Amino acid sequence: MNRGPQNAPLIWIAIPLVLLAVFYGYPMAAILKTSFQMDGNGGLDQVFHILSSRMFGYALGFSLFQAVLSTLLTLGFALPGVIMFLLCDFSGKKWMQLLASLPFVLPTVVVASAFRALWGSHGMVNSFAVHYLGFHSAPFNLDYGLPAVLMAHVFYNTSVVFKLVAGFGANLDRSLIDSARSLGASTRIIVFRILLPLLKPSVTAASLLVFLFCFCSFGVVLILGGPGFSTLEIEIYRQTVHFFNLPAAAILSLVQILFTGMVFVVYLKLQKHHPAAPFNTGGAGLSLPVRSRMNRLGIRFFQSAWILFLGLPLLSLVIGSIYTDTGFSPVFFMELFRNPDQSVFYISPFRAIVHSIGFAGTATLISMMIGIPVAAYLSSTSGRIRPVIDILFMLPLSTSAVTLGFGFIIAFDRPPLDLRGSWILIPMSHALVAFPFVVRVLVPAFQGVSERLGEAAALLGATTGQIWWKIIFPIARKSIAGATIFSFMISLGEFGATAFIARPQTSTIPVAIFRFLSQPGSLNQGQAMAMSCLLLLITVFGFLWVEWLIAVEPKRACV
Amino acid sequence: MKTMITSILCLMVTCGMATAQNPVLELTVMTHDSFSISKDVLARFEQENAVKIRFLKAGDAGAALNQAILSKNNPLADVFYGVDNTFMSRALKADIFLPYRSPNLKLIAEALKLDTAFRLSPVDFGDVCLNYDKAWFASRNMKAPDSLEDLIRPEYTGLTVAESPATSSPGLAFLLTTIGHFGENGFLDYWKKLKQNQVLIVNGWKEAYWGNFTAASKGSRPIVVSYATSPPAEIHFAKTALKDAPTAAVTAKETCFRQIEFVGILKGARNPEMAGKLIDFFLDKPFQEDIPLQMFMFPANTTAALPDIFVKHAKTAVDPVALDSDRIESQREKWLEAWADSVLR
Repeated sequence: MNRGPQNAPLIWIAIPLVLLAVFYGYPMAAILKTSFQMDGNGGLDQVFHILSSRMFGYALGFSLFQAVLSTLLTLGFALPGVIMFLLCDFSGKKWMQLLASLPFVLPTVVVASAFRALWGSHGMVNSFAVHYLGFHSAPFNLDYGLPAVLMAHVFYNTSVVFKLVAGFGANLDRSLIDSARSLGASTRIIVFRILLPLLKPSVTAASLLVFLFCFCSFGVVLILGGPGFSTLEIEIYRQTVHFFNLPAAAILSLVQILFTGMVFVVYLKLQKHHPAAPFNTGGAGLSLPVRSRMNRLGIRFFQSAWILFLGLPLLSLVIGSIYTDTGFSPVFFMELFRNPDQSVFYISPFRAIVHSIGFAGTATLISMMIGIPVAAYLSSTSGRIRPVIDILFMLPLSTSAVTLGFGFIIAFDRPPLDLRGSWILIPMSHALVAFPFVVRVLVPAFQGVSERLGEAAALLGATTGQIWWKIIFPIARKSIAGATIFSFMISLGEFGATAFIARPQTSTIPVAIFRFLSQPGSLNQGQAMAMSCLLLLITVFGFLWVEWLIAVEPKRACV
Repeated sequence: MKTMITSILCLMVTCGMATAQNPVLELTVMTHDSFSISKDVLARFEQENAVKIRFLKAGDAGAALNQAILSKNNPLADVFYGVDNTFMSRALKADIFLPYRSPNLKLIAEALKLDTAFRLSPVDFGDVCLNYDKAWFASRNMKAPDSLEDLIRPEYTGLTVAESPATSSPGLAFLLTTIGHFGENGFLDYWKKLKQNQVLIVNGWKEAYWGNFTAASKGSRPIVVSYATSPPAEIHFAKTALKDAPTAAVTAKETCFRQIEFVGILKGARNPEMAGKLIDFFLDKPFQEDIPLQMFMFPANTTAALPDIFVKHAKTAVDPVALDSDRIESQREKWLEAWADSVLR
């Protein structure tokens, strides 16, 4: 299989490799070493003891089970919407896109409370069913348990599928579909025989990310599953924090990483047989005018489903931030600007926003610095080393936040890397979660461009640098922009990685939300909702900003 | 591409400016996420001693302590605030604290001094106990609970929400309460009966209180495991001034677990002398009187005056259960396993 102009040299990814080694490999090695030294004589016996325990079997089993289910459900919910989005021209497309992006930034506690306000046994949907539909008791009981976990995973991960697949699809060449249509192919044939096969690389990549995300799920399973459920990630946290049994935590961490490796091998196998996707140079998209009544109805149906499922929880959150028992009032937002108790740790909404945006900006820069070269390298190499590099740069995603956080503590404790307590570790830990996403978004896009145009340009005598700077990057700019906003949002909402890093007084918005929710009192809850709305607002601005960037960039590229 | 990079660079610079700190003589305090202190109280100490105090927050109490233990060869901080009595034995066994006998220890309640070598000095305490929704019980003419046994009576079926001791610190405290009250042989029976009585177990305090407690949410549970100081917090953080708290705490004999928090100087502190002064300050009146409204805990210093809201609305446990810290550390995993086996599975 020919992958692009030539086999790229390893030097392309020198900087990403160094960053990965320093900020991932080194702390992981340090924590694993310390963990296994702690209990010197435990040895292999201990490994067997843990691997044969009921806790382990259960946690691994449930992690896998819910991750598979969550991935299938997310694909089932998101793909029809994405296909509709790609194929048809209809009003409100931009809003659908925005709606799919927002859930990603919200902290789990906030999503859980929004979900309960809607679907809970005392929530709006049940009240509606009891009052207007004649039910005697609440028909849904979605407070806790597997259904609540699955719903939350679909809610969060729809944006992953949307970002990857719609971003990839927007670059596809529409001439294939046009000719199929002019030959009289039905919509069904266009979708199943042409579009889906073309989208396959991005669909598998999205499935991989969603699966890994759910496999390592912590907050969602903890809060919405309830105490009867557990994943490997939760057990790692418990062994580390509650029992301080680091050897056990280290073994579980390794198992989690090992599983990621295995899933990844499957992914690579699937990915191998993809046909090269024809890419469009202009990026005009596939949108076709909607003709039949059936299609129009279908679009309305999916639009409503998205609004109901993704929009309503967000709406209930916004309402929660302005609704008090005395009616609508901006009191919670006003209160954010006051510090009546004169606490040193009070954070003004302005500063929380500045910190959040600053960290997210830094994290985005780091993840693009790693992600773009790695994706470029992966899309133009076919050697035996390729899968190794590919897997290497996926590992951080499935590494337990508490293990890595504790690794930082041990690893960075003396100059020149005396970084403990430094703010740089926060965006760095965010970037470690974000850049695997960047790589997965960019690889299929770069491949699509380079296989078609790269070769042609090379034949015409263009240098590798020219091919990338003048052809591939400009054409794949939509994907690059998508990856940028994606990593920005991952960092904005990230709390898990932050929670286990000793950090100075640089509160981000999620940290502020947690602080409010850790004390009783109606003001605290209202302020937490108000802060969450600010988080949504920043996301909306970030989204519009990137849209604007995409709109201005082509002019520069053509000059 | 260029616009994108420039914009991100601008953001980074803004962030760098916002987080830059000027170098002075610094003392670092490592603590958990719930720690708080008033600006003026801290400023007075900083001015009097010409020192800058830097706080490092490192997750919940357990996570923060474990990080301190892991970094003991080259400590992150000079002082650690917030080891509680459920983790005390772990902290002492790891040998990370320097003994320090603060002159202010004489002002501290005797019952709280659990470490006889004074590596850890008691600084505040709080009682984990049942809270109930006053209006809920009043409107049904029902007697509010006043013992652990009440919760397993038939008329209290489906009324209680508690946190899982496996993932939550008030949850663990409540499990310890039942162990202290019913004994190591009796507590599982009690939990089985609680389970039959449809107790709802959720993962943490936020879920229990904000998600299910009738007084704080649209929940359906009028009894929750929380703190004895939650009712005054309800008043303090109310949207509109309240005369009385909507909730009340059950503080009867052997219904509560007392969490005692300690502060200590970390071995290898760069400036142990100044760290000692900081311990004196933490035990002294100004900071001790700041504790209630900042952290909703009680001061350990017996001479500290309580704020009005605490005098009127806060109660302390009459006779909280006492469990030895060594026993908690050595039995924790066993108790949690046994609990999970009989309640969750």
